[in-house]
Amino acid sequence: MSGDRRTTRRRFLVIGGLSAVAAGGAGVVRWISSGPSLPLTSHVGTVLGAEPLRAIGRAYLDANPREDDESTLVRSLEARPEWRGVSDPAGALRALRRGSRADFGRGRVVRVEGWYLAESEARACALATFA
Amino acid sequence: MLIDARSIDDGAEVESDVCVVGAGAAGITIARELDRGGLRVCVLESGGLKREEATQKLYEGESVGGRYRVGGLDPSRALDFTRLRWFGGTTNHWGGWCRPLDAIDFEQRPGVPDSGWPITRAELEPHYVRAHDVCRLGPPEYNAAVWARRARRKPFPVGGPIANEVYQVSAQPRFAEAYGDDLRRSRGVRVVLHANAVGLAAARDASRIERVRVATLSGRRFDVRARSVVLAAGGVENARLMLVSNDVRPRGIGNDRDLVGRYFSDHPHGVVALIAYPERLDLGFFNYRRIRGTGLLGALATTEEFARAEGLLRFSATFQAREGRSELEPGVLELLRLTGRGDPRGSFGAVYSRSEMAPNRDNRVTLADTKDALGLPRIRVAWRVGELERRSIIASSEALGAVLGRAGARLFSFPGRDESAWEQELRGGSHHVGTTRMHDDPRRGVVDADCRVHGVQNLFVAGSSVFPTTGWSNPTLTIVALALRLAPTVVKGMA
Repeated sequence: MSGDRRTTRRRFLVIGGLSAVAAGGAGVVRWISSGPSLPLTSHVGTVLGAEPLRAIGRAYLDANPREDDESTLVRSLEARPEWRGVSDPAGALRALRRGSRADFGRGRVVRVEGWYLAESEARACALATFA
Repeated sequence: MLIDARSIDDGAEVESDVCVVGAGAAGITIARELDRGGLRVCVLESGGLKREEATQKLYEGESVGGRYRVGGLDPSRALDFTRLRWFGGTTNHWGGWCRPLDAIDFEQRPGVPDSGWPITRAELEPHYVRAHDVCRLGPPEYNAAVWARRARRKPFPVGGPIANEVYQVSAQPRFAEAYGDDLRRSRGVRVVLHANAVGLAAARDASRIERVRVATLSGRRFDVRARSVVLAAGGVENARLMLVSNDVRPRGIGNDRDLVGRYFSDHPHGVVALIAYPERLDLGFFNYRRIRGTGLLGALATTEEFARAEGLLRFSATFQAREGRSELEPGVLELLRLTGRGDPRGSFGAVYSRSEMAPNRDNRVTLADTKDALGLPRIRVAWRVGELERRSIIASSEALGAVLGRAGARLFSFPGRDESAWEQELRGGSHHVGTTRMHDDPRRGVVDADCRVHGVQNLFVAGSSVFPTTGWSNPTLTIVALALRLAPTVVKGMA
């Protein structure tokens, strides 16, 4: 999995059910080769797109495979007040700073290969891997 | 005066009021005090005035399982590296870090088996005050906020279970330099160099020590006959000398209950975390500095309240700048830059911990099968950190991590990285404690509250071997305070 994420991620957007895929139904899976599909992903990708930050994101997703999904990450971030209503990259950076401070203050930290990061930082880095 | 044992006749008997074995911090301190008390004192020092390899090798010993290690050295070198065997003793490489033990360190704590001293911190307080002069320190002030105000700096932003603390650093940690001239001029004190104490000759009923047997590496042997004997040879060697003195008591003098050598402790030292931190985070408080003539080092430590409430051992940490080493570091620095309100740079450092060790009777020094050049069995040391240490270090590291994280640092912590390997990363700190522990009950301690060996009326022990627990402070200030406290007891015993 981590090897796949060394380059821009490719995603399967599941439209139909897995049973339909197994049955070979045409058009049930749409292949998206590149480009963000959700606005927050695009804004975060602009701010956190540098390779060292994406490396953190890949490490986080390797340790938390249940979150290895763009929509899940967006929902997790937007559940926090600091991240609601982000409409551009500058807003994403503000949300990152506020969210980071709030997370450290409330003890919402995660360990990524030993490094203690704010939850929002780790998830934002993970989301950047989808950009 | 200073004399050389090699000039004393073979088979001679030297007479003195008190024989002090060892001329390190404890031995020199108590010799000076006894001199002031008007007693004739014979101090036996194994070495000369500088390092001599043949003498230093007398300290070589064994580490069971290779677990007792110091620094990056091979475990086989731990015992002779940590102790120095010439005039001034181990103060010849002492860093001079001083801090008294805290009140909690003297208490019997429910979560720490075999904890508790028979004396309180308050009883030791006046001796700590005098020990400050002996150790060439500043005023006995350890409130970090007071020193921060004096330095016109803000203290590190701590909170909850973590507090700012300070060490004072001795202006002259080499006791031979500080007090050598005093001892040379003294009429009452004879420091006998190259004089190795090789046994304590006890009365038939083992109630008194009659003579201290002495040997030189050049082959001479003589006795010191004294009315009282003070062992001040260090946290390991005090026990060794008692164990080898087994001609009257098979287990060794003062060891009828198999306690001599047990409860060996040394502060586990180790890097508990690497941190990345923004430049705006001022860690200068942790660097050595002189404030109004007093040398100081900052530290962070768990509070007494936290240790009590959680049933944990004490924990302290200092900070050292260093290079990072993780593959994720570039990203971590970039996160710091992004979230650090424009701070353009970050640095890496190591959080270095010095923790309390719980008393454990299975950690011990015993006599090995091999012998040194004088024919004495060498020491074998068993030292292993246990579950309470593990729990304490990890919980305290987490608390410290929260403080550092709130201040803007990111942590890379080894307990979280690989818990199976964490013990391997801990080292001893050359702080040998506990092998002749103090307790009012002879079933639970080797010496009583006066530092007199239970059942041996004229044998006393000075030094860290009498500490029942380690606290987190470096031991030398307490060693000196206890030596100052012991002196009047010895003088009174002469009356």
